[in-house]
Amino acid sequence: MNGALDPTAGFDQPVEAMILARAQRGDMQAFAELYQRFGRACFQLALRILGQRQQAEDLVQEVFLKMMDTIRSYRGDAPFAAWLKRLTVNACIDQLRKQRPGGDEDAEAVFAQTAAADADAAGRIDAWSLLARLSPRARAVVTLHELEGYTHAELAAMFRQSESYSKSILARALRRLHALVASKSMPQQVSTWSSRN
Amino acid sequence: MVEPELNLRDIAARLPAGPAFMASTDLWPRIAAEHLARRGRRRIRRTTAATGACVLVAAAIALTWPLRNSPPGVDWQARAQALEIELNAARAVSPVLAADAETEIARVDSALQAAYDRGAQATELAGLWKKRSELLSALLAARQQQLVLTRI
Repeated sequence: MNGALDPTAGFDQPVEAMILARAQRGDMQAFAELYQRFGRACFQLALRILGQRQQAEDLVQEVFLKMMDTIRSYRGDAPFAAWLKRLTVNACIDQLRKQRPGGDEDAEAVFAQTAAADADAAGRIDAWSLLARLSPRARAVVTLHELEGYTHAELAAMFRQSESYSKSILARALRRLHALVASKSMPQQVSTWSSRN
Repeated sequence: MVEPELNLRDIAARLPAGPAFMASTDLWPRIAAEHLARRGRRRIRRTTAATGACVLVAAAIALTWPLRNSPPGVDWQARAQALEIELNAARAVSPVLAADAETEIARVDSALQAAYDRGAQATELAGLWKKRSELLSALLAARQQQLVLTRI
């Protein structure tokens, strides 16, 4: 697997109950430990989806500020890392909505943006820049489905769209990326991979 | 022929990993500083709101206190004025009045005037009007019984 596309890198770490208890009391040292543990994973996820370093840093800041404000209400029903990851994903999708108000845009509109992204992209291609060839929304769908394991039903709920919307965007985005990689004359074996629904 | 299903990992399998992007090293200090600043601002807002609420409650108590301390439905000023009219009518029939009581009423009147001049509180005024009413009542009662009041 390509290291740059490792799924959920960093979000699979457990957190000691003592750290969480201290964080719930507002202990800054505990917050610093949580950042040390999950800050990178949050940043990588935000960067994959948003595609811009400054936006990703701003988003990580907002996510951690929100986490520090709301951790008292965290009851431990889900692992802390999953909770934090969900905060990050929700913040990313909110950010995408702010960038393009009127979230009912169709898949065609998403790929009209993709064409513009292609035109701007540099000739060099690597695992990171591959995702940068997609529009923000298509990048979010690909990242969340392919790397973070979200199902189409979950994506539909998050984007407030139908499942067919995210399926359509995903299929077209993957075809586009595949064609792009092929056009760079990099021979590769494309194999089937069981899809999630 | 069925098209093979594409997935990102296979597409990217032979691509170089690319640069490892890391967040700025000063991101956490920025987050911590902003958190502490927000916490400080929230504390100031809470303190201001609590102080404002206390001031409002204190003002409400100060304004309603005189009303709470006076017996409901008794307007001592109106009562004193009504008694005075009654007493004046009695005087017209027979001008005999207890000298001590007249002196006492005059003293209460002076106190009332002084109280109004210095903008005294309603409770103090009500107390003086009450005293005046009681004096007038006593005078009237004595008059009705044809007694000479020597001491109130």
